[in-house]
Amino acid sequence: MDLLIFSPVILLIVLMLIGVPIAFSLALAGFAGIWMFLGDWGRAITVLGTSTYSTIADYNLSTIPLFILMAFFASGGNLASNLFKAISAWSSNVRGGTAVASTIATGVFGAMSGTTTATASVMSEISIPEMRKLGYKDELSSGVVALGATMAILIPPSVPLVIYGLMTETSIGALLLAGVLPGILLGFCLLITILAWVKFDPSIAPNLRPATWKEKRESLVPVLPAVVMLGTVILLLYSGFATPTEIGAIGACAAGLIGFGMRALNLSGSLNAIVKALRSSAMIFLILLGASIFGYFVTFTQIPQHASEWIISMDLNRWLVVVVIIVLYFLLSMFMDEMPLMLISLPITFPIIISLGFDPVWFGVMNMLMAAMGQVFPPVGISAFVVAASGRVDLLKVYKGCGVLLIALVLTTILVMIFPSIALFLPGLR
Amino acid sequence: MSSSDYKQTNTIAAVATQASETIAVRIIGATERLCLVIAGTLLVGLVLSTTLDATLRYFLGAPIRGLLEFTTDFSMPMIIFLALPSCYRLGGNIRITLLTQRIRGRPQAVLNVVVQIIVAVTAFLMTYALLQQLVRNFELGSMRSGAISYAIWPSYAAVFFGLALTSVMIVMDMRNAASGTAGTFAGDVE
Repeated sequence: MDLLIFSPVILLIVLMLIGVPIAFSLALAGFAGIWMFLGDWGRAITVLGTSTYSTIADYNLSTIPLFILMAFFASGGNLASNLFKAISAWSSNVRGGTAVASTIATGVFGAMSGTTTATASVMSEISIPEMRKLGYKDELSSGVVALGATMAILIPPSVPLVIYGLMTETSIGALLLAGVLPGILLGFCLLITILAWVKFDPSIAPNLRPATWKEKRESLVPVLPAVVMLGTVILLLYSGFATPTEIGAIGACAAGLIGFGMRALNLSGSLNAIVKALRSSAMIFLILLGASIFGYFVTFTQIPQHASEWIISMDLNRWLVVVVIIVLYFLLSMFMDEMPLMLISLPITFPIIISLGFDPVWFGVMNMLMAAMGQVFPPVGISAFVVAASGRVDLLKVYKGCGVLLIALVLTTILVMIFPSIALFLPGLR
Repeated sequence: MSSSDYKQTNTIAAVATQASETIAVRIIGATERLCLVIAGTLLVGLVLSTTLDATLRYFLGAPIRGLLEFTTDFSMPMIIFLALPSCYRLGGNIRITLLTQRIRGRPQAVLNVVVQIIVAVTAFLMTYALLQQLVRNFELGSMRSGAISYAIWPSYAAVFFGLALTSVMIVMDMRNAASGTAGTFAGDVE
């Protein structure tokens, strides 16, 4: 029986490797596991039917389509390109200033979009051609976007953090706040790394004509609504005035109104944004659904409890355990998007982390940092792929840029690990 | 029956099959678009009603009665499951293609068909399981009670409809699976 318990896990791995979409792999392997465990087809079908409906019928989950709609409205409303132009003007007196601008604009747009791939795709199309025209090397311009986009999963509203919260029953508000400082720290480390790289190898970034004061002032006007919107979202979240779902709705409303007000968004653009949001949401929820069915199997078999007991019985140093888990996450995230990885692994790793006395909010942030690393690291690195495709850059150049700038992400991870208060400070103030 | 009569009958049968397939594809396409319109309308409604609810609660202390229950039991399941057929058609399924992208030619075509069959079986299992729940809730007249009380089966019916339509689309796409143009394979996200 002991070894049989793992057969659905093996089935899951085989299904994923032969190319069955992750959502269907999880659902089928989970159902097979439930059927095997209960030994009753009828009851297994009942569990499948109940979980299919109840997974989606959850008020908290409505945050996800709302955040995604906000991102597509923001993208359609040219908020990202306006941000890039404004920050470029203000940082034009620094060598590598456009790379700095690209980092900040990517971070801010990432904060509005909540997903790495959407941010990487939008910002690649905006900043890479512009930087190439100015004489920046592709390694720097693509690395900046690929790494900068990973801030999206830390700075609120982060869709992966919301899913982590729902999966682990951790406060979503606390998680979203916990991502703010590590996200800003990552941005700061990234800026320092960029400036150090430019100082070390000036050939990668040209010296540009500094923008005049008039140009700087004029660049600010189109950006103001986006800054107000982002500020409002953070303020609402921090003040506790609105729930994450309400913040998503208000943010989507505001992004749509700003887009219409600035005449960047019309009816056809809005409809396009809605269709894209529906498609992304359905895709995410299908994976959630599969993970929920697989989660039932994991719960029935008590694999997490057995794993926790086994690890505790070994009497290992708890930091050693967390480092091993983090390294495993990093390795797996090189082959898998952050969300499926989280949904598959959390039912097992989360109880272990909690039983070792670690903070669930801190682990959520660490989880995101690990996923961020995998997204820019070969052989897969989804963010690097998106940048290469959207920015029309050779993948090796993207990896080279990411390889240098990864220092910033590693440094941030080490700092958050050594000083958990970087993540826990803001949630503690609520 | 002469050989030419036999050929003619076969040609007529083939044309009739093709015509009925075209009609089926058109009906499914139109239904899918209708589902997308309903899902989109519900999403916009969710944005506006939630914003209004937060505003009314903060300024007048009078939130919209029953909105939470309506969002939970109707808006969310309907938005997601009625958008599912379009999500399938447009592709974007997250798959691990690290190994499969190295396979070419006939083995790839065979593997694609196997994957499509697995996806179809899983989708039909879920649809069947949901149908059971729908029938059970309808027969029992299950009600959800909260700020407002209402029957739960219409929501199950919408969820079942979206999933059933997706399952049918997956089966109809079986022929496209070999060439990798079925919804399961289109627009892969690794």
